[in-house]
Amino acid sequence: MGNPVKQPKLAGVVGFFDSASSLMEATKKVKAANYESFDCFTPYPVHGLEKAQGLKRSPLPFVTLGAGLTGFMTAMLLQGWTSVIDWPLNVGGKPLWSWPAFVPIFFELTILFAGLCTVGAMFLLNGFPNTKKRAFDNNITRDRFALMIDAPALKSAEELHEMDDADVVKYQARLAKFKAFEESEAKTYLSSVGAHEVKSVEARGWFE
Amino acid sequence: MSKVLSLVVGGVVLVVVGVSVASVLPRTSNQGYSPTQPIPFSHKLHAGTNKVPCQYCHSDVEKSRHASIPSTAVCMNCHKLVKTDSPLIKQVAAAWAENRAIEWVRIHELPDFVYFPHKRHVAAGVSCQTCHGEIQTMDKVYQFGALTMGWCMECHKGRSTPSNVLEFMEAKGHPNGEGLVAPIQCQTCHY
Amino acid sequence: MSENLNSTRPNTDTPFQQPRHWIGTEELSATYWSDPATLEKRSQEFHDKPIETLEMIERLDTKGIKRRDFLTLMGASMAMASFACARRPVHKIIPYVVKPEEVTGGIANYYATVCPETGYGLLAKVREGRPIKLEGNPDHPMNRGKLSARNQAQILDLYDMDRAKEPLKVSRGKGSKAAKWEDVDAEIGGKLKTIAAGSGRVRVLSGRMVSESTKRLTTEFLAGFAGGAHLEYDPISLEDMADGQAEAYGSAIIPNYHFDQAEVVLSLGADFLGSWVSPVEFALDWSKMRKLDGNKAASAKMSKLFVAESMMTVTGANADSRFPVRPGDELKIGAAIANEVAKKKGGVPAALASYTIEAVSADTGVDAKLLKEAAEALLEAAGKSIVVAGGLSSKTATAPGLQAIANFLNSTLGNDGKTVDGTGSPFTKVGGRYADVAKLISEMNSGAVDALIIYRTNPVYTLPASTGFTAALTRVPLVISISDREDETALLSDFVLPDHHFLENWGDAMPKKGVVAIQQPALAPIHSTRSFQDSLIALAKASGVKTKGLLASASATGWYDYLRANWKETILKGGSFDTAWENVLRDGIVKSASAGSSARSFKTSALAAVPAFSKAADGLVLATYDKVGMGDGLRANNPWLQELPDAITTATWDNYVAISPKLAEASALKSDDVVEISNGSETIALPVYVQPGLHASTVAMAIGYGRTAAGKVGNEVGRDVKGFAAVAGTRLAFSGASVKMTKTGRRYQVATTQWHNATEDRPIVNDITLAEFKANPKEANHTDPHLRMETSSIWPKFEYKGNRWGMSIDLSACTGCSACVIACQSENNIPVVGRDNVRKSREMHWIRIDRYYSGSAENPDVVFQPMVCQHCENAPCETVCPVLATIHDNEGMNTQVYNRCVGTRYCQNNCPYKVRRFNFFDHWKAYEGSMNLAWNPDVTVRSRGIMEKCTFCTQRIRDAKDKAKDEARKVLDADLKTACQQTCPTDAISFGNINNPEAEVSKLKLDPRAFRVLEVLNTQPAVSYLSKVRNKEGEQKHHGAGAEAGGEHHG
Repeated sequence: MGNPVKQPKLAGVVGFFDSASSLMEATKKVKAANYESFDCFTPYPVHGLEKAQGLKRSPLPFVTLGAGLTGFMTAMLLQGWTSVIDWPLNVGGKPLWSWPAFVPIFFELTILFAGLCTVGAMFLLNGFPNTKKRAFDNNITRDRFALMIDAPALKSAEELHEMDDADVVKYQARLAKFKAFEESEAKTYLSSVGAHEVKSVEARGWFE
Repeated sequence: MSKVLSLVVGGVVLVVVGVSVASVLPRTSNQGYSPTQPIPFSHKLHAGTNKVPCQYCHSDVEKSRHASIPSTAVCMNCHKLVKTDSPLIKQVAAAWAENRAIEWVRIHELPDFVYFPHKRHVAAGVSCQTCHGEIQTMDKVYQFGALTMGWCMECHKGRSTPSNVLEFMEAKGHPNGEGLVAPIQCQTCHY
Repeated sequence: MSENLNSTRPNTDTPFQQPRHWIGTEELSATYWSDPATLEKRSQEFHDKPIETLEMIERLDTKGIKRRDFLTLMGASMAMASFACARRPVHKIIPYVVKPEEVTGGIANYYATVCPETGYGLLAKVREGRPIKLEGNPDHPMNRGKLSARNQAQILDLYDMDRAKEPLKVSRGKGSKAAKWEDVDAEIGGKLKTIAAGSGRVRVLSGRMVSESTKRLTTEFLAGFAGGAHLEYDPISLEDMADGQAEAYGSAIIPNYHFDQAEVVLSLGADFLGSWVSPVEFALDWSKMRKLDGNKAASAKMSKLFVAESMMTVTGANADSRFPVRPGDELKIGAAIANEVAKKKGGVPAALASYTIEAVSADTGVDAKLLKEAAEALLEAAGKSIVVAGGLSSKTATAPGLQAIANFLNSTLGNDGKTVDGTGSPFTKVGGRYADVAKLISEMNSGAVDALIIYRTNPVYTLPASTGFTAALTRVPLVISISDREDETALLSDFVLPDHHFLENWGDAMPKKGVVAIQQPALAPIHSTRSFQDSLIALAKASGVKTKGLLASASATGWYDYLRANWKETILKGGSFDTAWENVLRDGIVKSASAGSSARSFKTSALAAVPAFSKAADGLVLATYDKVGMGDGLRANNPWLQELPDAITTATWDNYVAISPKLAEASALKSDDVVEISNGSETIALPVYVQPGLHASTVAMAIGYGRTAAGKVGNEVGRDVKGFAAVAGTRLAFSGASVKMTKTGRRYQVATTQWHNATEDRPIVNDITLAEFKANPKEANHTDPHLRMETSSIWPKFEYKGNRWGMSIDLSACTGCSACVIACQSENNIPVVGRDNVRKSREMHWIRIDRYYSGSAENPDVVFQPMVCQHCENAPCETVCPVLATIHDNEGMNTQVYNRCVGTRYCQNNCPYKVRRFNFFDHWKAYEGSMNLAWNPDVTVRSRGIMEKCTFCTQRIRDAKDKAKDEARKVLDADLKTACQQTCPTDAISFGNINNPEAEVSKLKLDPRAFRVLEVLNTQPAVSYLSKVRNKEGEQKHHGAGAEAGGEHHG
């Protein structure tokens, strides 16, 4: 009768810690436990946490470098073409290619491109725009430390049937690499590594 | 992937909208201006069909910066005898008889701070049509060229220069500098 | 090396030493430099908060009327039409009905004409039917292509909005009504008929008339009346000279002086370089003896100028040896020198015996050694020297004696017949005498004058009240004023018949024997005016009087026909008249060979005019003088002349009382303090101006101010000092009266420009003596840093292929006459800003004459430096413009693009020469109505917010290049003269293509005397200056006596 209630999907389980150090300990353990994916949430950057998490270095610096160089070249082309090639003007007896006068624009466009692209790239790398996930606790940015173990995206039997064999093998190989995730097991585990509160997190998007 | 795609599509849309808006904003040039004259003089008839040379009427163009609008006397040179019964010619004859100047509406006008010498351009071989369009086909004169600084500079920089002028300056050895047809110093036109 | 560039006081670390070149006496005292107010004032670029005077400024009230500035525009006087949302306005383009053959739009025609006051030949540059610029006629033997500041300004008088535009019935000051020509002719004609019938007396009173045809017409007109007479009167009259010449030599002429052949010149009060007799001509000739070639320094020769004067004038400023004296004491100086000269040449006449050098030196304060030196120099140059005397400041009761002494000296030295030409080509039109006017006044008072026609003179303004002219005027039944406006005299007459401006009229001029010039109109009359000559002809017809001569014959149908008839009869006799006439119209002058001159015999009876020597009384003596710009004040409504900074005082818009620094100190007075000058019957209040180089007893004031009916511009400017002129027998003595000076405690800021630019002892100007020059033509003042500096650059210089424009200014030749300032203003549409804006340093002149003193305050040396945009290669202004409105073009000029300028004013800030002028307001709007015809159409008119500066007359360069391109050749010197260069009477300015080694300017730049201003800044200016050389022995004294290095302080 009525509309069928949609079964909430599980995003994962989260354990709350009361200090950075306990979170750090827990992270090392969870990493060692070989879950496929988990993440730490802290109100402030904790030194060494990303290493404990095993995160790879961000490619952002390369974006900055590339964008900065692009900015520099743009400035050089802009000023060079206008001042030397298109409309050469003798201003105060200074040479046409007056690089000391161009330096502020070099600097400015380098910084501009680098800055804007870095910010943009960081947003993209951070997964923005993101309407699929919702914060599970509003106090994460205030005073809570959390560690969330994600529930892997499991394919259902129908989906498995539709996939190619090679893909199925890949999928299963992927699953095999990591520890299998099970909700209550994971919860218990989190409590065991020091979480004072553990709960499950629903997968909810912004608009749900 | 869809994020990047949406960004790219958003950017393209933005550019398209911007260009369309800019293209319908009013221009700063008077290109296309075609006012009604007190007497509907037809260049098509005179310069086109009857092949009266431009300099016959606009006689100062080789001597000074102004091309000069012809005096009524120039009209009467022919129209004392030619088509005297036409009502339009009668208007000219009336002005002549009353010693009253004919007040033409000015089409091609440059701001006060621009100095443009017809004489030098004519001497360099620039034809009337280059800037004024195919006047000899116009019944009602309209402004063909943009007459903006950028438009002038295109020719001065050798980008839209007619070939005969290019040859002329080539023969003179590019006195204005390499690759330049005519001077691009600010003071060339603004003083 | 360059630390001192940032100090506002020279030698901050050493004991105070006065600056080498100073602007005012304030700079000579150590306390001035240590006063923090000084530092603040000098560091302001715009003096909008003049510190000590702001609270105390009081506008001089005249009869309760607030003095108005010349149209201070606060942007509220006119609303600007906004086109922002409006459609493009419809503009008409209107051709001729019949285009005259000689008119091509955009191309100027030049008409030769002549100035009827001076007789100088002019070329009127006419564009589209109206004259826009006056140049000298190179073929005219007097001014030879040059003009003075006043001549250049005459073009604006043509378009003056305050001109009378139609005949007026004036009713003697009770209000004027416009009338029609036919009506006034009929009315006046009727009255004149009655007068003629009753054998009445008609008088024509005019200014000096150099037109013989007009004189003939006037005489013939007056011949129709039983008692008709024509007399001439000018406030600045040559009567003393003419009478002196008559006494000494028998004929009342003024000799022609060949200054280009004079090795020694002694001037007793005569400002022959500025305003006396024929200054353009004299300056042109005099400068020929002052030019020096640095490459031939060792054998250099130049003339020597001795000047004795009471008020510092342009001539005195250029003197090699100057004697500041009381007004009237020029006679004593002249007599002492004559005494000394006569000792060696035939014995001292009795009249001069009492004027020994010792006695005169003791009485006047002039060093006896200097007087002896002058006498010796004259003796050495006997036959090759000139003595001139005259001028308003020496027009005392003893002026005739002064002339007698000058004539005596010239004859004794054998100058007469050689450098002084009284027979070959003297000035024959000498104007009238006050004695004639006095006679007229008594005739008027006794009712013996029935009609008085006043033409081009303004006796109600120019004659002092003590002469009684104004009162006598009321006794004349019919007074007709033929003038260009409702001036003071016109307001008290019955009719005003407005006269043409000379550019609208035919005429001729014969100022000198052998000089015959034609005056032809350059445009049709703008208003409903009629020439004086046509008015006489019309009145003769209307009154029906019996006339004689040409006026009676059938050809007198108008002035033009009369003129031609007269010329046919008297000048162009024989041959084809029409061809000869056309030739004269083209040349402007009847070419004739110059006549030689012979010596005249001097009548010693002339010396009877010399009074016996008597010691000068104590107390202040008044000198009245005429300024180079304003003259007699009849042009007071000309804003260019009002705003022209006086060459000596740099004051604009006002007159003042000039006193010496000694007198100022003794009376505890500073410049701008208002004092009252009184001679017992007249009192006048004027601000003080501390003028170095004056005698301590001299008090000097300029005439030509305080007008009440000049027009919007000239009314209530300054104060009228003519009341101090006294009748002395048959003459008017303008100077020499005893006066008292009382402080009032008020202050009034005279708008001077001198403090707007100061040297701070930087290497800006260089002046040396002839001895130093001969030893080393590169001799330079030891400024710190040095005058000529080697500078290096971190980048290579631009190459200028083709033309490269440069200028050289000879400081030795510049007399400070300021003709270039007005010529530039006329050529380049430079606006007038008014008194308040000049006070705020916002004057707009593109070329300014900086005037520096050096030496002692009591008798300083003066050097003038014309300062224009230096067109620096490494221009500091170009670097800082945020919108690149000013850049360097490929011909070496710094260009200003008006439409690009947004008015940041950073360029003006950065210019070390302070030559950039900013339009703070829409000054162009001040040109109302017909004044707009004066604009030069080749130069953009700048609006508010635009920066402008000298462009080396780029429009003239363009025309020259255009012409050269037509003829497929390079631009030559002859094609091109900037406005300042063209009018400079002494050819001080030289301009041309420095890439052409044959050009004059290229050679001058290589002269060892050449230097550039502030070269240490490495701006690489395109303008170089040639050091000023004074004909003195020894070293150039820069620091006054008593202020040696490490020595005492002043004041």
